[in-house]
Amino acid sequence: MFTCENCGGALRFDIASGKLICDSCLSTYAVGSVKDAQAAEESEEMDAKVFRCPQCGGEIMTIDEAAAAFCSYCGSSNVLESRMTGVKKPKYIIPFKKTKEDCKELYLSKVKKNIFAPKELRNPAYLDRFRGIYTPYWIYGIDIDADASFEGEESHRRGDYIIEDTYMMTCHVDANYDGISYDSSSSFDDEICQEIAPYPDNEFREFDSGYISGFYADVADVDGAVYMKDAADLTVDSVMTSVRSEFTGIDSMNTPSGGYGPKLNPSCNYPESAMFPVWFLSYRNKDRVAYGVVNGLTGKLSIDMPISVLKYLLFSILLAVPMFFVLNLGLVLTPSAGVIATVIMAIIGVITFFVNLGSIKKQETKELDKGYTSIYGKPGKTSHKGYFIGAILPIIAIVVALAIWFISPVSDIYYYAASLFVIVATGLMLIELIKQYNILSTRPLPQFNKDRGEVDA
Amino acid sequence: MRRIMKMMAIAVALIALAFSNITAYATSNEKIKDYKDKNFQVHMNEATEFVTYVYDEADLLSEDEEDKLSEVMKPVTEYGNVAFISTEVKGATTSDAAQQFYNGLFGSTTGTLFLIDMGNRNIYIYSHGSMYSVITSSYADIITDNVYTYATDGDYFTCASKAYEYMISLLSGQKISQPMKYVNNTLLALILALLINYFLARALSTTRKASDTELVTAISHTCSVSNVNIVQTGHREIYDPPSSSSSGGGGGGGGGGGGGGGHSF
Repeated sequence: MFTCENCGGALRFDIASGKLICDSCLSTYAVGSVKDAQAAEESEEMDAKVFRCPQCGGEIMTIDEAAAAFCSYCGSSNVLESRMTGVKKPKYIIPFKKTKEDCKELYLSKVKKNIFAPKELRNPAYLDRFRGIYTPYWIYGIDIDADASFEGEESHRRGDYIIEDTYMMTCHVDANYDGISYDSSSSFDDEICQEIAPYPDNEFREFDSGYISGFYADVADVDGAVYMKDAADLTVDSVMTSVRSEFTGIDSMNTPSGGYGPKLNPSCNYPESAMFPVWFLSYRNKDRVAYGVVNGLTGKLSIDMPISVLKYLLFSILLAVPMFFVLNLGLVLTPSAGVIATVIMAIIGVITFFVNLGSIKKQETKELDKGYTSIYGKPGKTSHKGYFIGAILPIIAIVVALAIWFISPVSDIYYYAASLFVIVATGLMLIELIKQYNILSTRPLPQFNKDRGEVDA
Repeated sequence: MRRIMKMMAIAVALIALAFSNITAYATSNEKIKDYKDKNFQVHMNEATEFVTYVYDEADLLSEDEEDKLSEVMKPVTEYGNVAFISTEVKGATTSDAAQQFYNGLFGSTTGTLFLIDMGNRNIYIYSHGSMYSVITSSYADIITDNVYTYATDGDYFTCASKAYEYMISLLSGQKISQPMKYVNNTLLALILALLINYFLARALSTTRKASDTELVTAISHTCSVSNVNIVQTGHREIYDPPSSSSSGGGGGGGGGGGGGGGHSF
């Protein structure tokens, strides 16, 4: 803990000034000019109070005497367990540049643009729960120094002949990419990390615990080796863009069976650790939690934005009115053609429904979150009871409508009833789809996946 | 004098009708009906010289109803020829038969025809020329939808006379009730709104991930590619003369400016 040399009060990092400030006497100090009274000189560790949520098992730490009133990961307000421990200092840090007010403004601006967002997301009391958290990252440096060869081909027509030429292309590649970052906390979703990225490396500072004074920090628990391949792949893809630009005139470069990686042989040392600033907000709804995350440096947002079913229905009815008038400008459908039109729309809805199934499953199982799966493994299958109910009804409606269209009864009533049945079934399916999307846009409470969070409050 | 002129005009029309090849075909070769020996009710509008034809082959109307219907139809001749035909079409669709009947009766002159097809149990309106620009296929669908229930109930006179009343309203620039259009468009607007709103909600709620280019641009990196060398390793010539197929002509044209719509009953 940093104390004021003037009055002995606690110091905290002030984002606006970029200095340590004493809230008691308003004295300011440059970061690095004040030493932590309790910290050992040149120690690789710092003393921190680690808070563990009894509900989800999420951990955050602070070097201050502060208490954590709620868990940022699951939104629980239960008393967090705390313990003092030594935490390894990271090598780099990017200090916060966006204040909490900036963050709230950015968040509100984004939420207001979404007419389907639940009103709870605009609740000032809820927004006040934004918490500045330093999130641990691994910083990768990739080097490539290789003589590489690639096969390519070019074809063109000459008279009655197609000329196909094949080529061997060789070059020397010398590349160095530093500052590729991936989060090293299993609690921090990789998807969110990708959405709020990037963190420019010219903002890196040598770590000083003064920067995290007054903030919380997430605890790193993912091994640095987990993202080495991702960092190497990113580098190789970027390098290959440069390589291709050198071989102009060649139509296509044959992709080697193992990719370009083995050709370029990128080397990656064990990554350096860093802490990046993140404003973190969690919105809990029953057994789901939605996150609002803001890049504390650039202000880039990642918001889990559920869709209000009520607003969706309301705006659908409102949209139907102008659409009705637009359609009346020129469209005249016979009742049988109307059935076909609604069936086509319903089929689009059904296809959309099933396409979303894959996304939801991936979100639920966290199978794409490498950091998470590296520690907890891939969870088992999840059940989606509503899925078949949601999809079967419109399929039945489509079949019934097509049967009516095929039978061609005389009275219009049958066609209108068939169309109405398709619309109601499609509407119910889309509502189910929204509920599923709300699952996609929110996350299961961490406790359901973490064996260490088995204690329910 | 006017009376003589009128009689002559009708006589000329009847003679022309009797000696003309008024034949309807389902296809180019299959004959549906030959009307050379049939009796028609024919009236001619002296001012416009457009003709009213009533031919109730299926005997759906009484003579009195035929006369009344002829009176109902007469205002249409202000704009073009008009015909009522009831028959039993076999081996063809009602729309094809209606077009063939029309061509046989009126050729390329403007007009409209209302057909009650007892074979397919359809009613159909076919219009041609300038009348088709008013009584379009869409309006033909709307009118037949408005009157099909009379045919279902066996009230063919009301069915036909209502259809002509709707046509006269359109031709005189008035609007007609279009419940079919409004009901269908309401249903379509509803399902479209549900779908569009869903995609809109998804688009507004989705956060885009940083691209690889954005990630690389944000970090320090150097990349030099040197000693670039290209060696040709293979050469192949495949004989593949350009296709000699013909271009297939320029399409079928506009179809003669006619069309229609109908409804089963």
